[in-house]
Amino acid sequence: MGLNKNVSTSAILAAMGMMVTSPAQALRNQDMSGNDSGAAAVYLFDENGGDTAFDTSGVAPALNLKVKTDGNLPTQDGTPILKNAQMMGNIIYVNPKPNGAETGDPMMADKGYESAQRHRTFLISADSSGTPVTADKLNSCSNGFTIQAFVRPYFPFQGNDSGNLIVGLSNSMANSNNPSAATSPVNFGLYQTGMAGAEAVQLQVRNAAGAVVSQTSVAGGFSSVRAADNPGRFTELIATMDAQGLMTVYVNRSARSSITPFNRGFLNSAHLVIGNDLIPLQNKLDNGQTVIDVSKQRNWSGEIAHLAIYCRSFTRAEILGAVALNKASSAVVKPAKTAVADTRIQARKMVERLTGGPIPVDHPMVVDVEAKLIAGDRVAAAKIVTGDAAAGLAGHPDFLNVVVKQLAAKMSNREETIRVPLNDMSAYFIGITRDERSAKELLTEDAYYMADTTKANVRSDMFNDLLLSNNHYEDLDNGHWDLGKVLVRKTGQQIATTMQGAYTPNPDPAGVLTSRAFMSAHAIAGTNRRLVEYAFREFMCVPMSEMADTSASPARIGRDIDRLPGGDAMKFETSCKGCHTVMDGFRGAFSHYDFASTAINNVTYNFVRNAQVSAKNTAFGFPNGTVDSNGVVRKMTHNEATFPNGFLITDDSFVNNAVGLANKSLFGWRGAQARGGFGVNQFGRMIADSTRFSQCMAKRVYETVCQTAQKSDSKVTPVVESLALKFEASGYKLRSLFQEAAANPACASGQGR
Amino acid sequence: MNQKNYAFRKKVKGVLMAGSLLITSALIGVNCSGFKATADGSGDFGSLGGADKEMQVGFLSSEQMLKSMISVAGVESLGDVATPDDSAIDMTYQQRAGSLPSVQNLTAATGPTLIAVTNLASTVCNKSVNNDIAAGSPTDRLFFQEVNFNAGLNQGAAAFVPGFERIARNAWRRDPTADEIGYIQGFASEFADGANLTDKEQARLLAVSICTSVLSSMDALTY
Repeated sequence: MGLNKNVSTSAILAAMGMMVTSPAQALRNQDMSGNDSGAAAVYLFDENGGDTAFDTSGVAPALNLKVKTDGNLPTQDGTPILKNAQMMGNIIYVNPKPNGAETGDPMMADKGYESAQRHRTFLISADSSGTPVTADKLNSCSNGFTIQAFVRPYFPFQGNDSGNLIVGLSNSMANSNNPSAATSPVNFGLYQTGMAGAEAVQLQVRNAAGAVVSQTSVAGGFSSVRAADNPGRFTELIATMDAQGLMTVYVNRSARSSITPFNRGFLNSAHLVIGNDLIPLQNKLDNGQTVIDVSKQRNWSGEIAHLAIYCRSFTRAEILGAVALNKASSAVVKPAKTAVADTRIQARKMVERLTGGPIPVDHPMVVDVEAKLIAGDRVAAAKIVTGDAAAGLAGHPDFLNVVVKQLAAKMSNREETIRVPLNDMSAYFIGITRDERSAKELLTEDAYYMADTTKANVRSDMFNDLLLSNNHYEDLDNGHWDLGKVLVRKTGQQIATTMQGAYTPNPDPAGVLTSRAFMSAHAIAGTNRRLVEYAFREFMCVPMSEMADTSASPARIGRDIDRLPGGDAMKFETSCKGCHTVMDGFRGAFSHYDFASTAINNVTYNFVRNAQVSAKNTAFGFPNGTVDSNGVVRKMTHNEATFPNGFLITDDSFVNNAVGLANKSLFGWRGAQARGGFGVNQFGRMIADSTRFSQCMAKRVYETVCQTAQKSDSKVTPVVESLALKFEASGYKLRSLFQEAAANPACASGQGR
Repeated sequence: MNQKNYAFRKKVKGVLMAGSLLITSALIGVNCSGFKATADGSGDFGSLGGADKEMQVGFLSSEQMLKSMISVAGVESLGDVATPDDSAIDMTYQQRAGSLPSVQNLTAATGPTLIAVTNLASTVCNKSVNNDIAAGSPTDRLFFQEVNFNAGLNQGAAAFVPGFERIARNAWRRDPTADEIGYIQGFASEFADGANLTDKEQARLLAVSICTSVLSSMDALTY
């Protein structure tokens, strides 16, 4: 799948979800709106053919770029190399089909970077006759420069450990065929570096000694996949250096900087080049034969949609604009000299419990909380920290960014660790808490939370970054964005369906139960029983062992469960049956769901699929044999020979078998789904309506805030029961629950050091 | 931003960490005689306090630690990685995250963890002290208002003590005791032994070391 060439590139970028930022000064915005005013060289690549990319900056002399193929090597099968740098639809395709054996369409799949190395097509500043000319107006920019480019590389790794040149002022002599010719660093240039999975961009600058000084971007943020697998996806690169030596590389406006004072040693003989450094070909001996050594080539293979080079640096404020205000931040606290009163200590402890870390005693929020504590209003004191919609209080950002996030993170993975990146489940928790919506929505709503892309510079393509990967949320995490500021609620959960980037509404959405994070933790492989186990573990605070009931009906236990384990029927009746009667009763709710990990063209995709909407035998559907004629995923009905008379799942119905005397009291079932129902949404509704759900949420919040020894047992104390009742009375508002927990006297008495 | 010093900082990083570790080890345990993890080690939180009272405390997880350090050291924005110091903090955090605690349990306070903590603290303190140096006047500084950063170590250890007290108040959330102040004065004096007393970079390094020792001590890592 290639780009639609009838659509402007900026429209493509906007449609694919790249963020729109407030106009920066001079630089283009991330959707390519705006202009390049002040740029010394600008390339739009809108020539639609020919071999010249014209400099449209208006700054004389124009620095046009010519496509060159000098020194091309024949392909290994002897096929002549084509001129593989083409301009079409406002994009230049550089080395798109390195092998050259297939004619015509540059969007055809390639043969790998080794072929690209043999195909030394590049663009070089040249006059109208094609004779290279030096880039004088850029070579003199030693006091500051900036490159802005929108690029799409074809390979995660481009073949040279030292990086492959995207664009730069190259000094080496080209195509001399002289093995002894010395190479010289670029005056400045942008290289793609890093191995697959850790792709990065590196700004290299030449110092007075002729050595390279470099700054590398944050690894992993540079999407580098083949065009066919990644339609419409460009990465915005900005590299800038000021007169003091501050070098900063932005990948989609995520910055990394360094400063190294050095004298720049720019040569005035450098040429502006795209797609390959000017490295001479070299001969080497290979099994006694002299062959051309291509290993030192620095070919870059990919697409560039827009390129502008400025003879000045840009500050962080100019590049990030108002968006920078949405980064996580903390108040600067100047220590006072006054003695610390006991009430101040109590206030500090409350603030720390609700923000998840030490807070200086002189922090203004601690002072405000102290005043409320002295006035005897503990809930009002807690509201200052958590924020409160009715009171118009914003709260401390770390309440959402740390405390709520870590609470949710622990619930979102199988290992129950907080050391996982932000994901859609954690974001849902944070959003629900901030918006003071009912926590029951966590298990029932057709919604999700993602970043407002006008407020955070993160990858945000629904198909690539939310449905097929966790990129969107990891960018939010790694970029230290203030989640309370940037998250927005969206309705309509989606499921990826085709390679072409299509997705369709989830037919059975159920809040975080159908989130990518929860599904990736519990629906991958297995028999979907883990989904039931962890739904109860996380939202009812009850492990499977405690809800086992051997007196319940075995009618729903699957055919894959041996009724004579080890030849011992008693073992089944007294042990296996207890868990399976409950678990298998519920698991039918998940009969259409699966989480798949599929490699296509060497790229691995991880995604949720649902047999009701995911077609059979398609890229993001179900391969033959993995779903039956009823739309039930085969993994839930396999091993049927183990006990053929067992239950066969044929739909998404589920039955509540946790209704024995002990379980009835434990869970406190209520509502229309108390006995069972159909699908995940009704399963989530059944959990959310129970008294145990509110008790579990109260228990988790209380233990998070008050740090009583957190055991994995399911015990609910009278304090937690009391908080659960208040939680329900508040309309299941998690923020209110945090306030009540922190204000509880039992909590205060045990609050930390 | 002192570019010259920045380059020099890399060279002395090992010395700085070693010094910080020494003083950190001196400060760990100060006022914490009752410090211990839960008996069975199974709880998520440890217990801290005197003999008369058990108190539930949390050991900071990696993310909490980072946010806490930048907060108490007056480094305003974690997300601002477009300056070298901020990038260094972010990079150190990424590099050391695997060694920083993943649980809020005092049993996570192992040797490698504390070294990683010290490393992170030193990069945060580097930024903090550079902010102090860059402040318009000494009274605009957050911590080391009494230090003349152009005077090297000739000014004596006492000039650094008020800065220590201010950092401790932020990071420990209490005023340091006389004993703790004495330890720091002793450290500052020993730091000067054999050093070039007129080298102004030494004054900066001493300030960073003092800050690092505070931020990487147990009182700053628990709540």
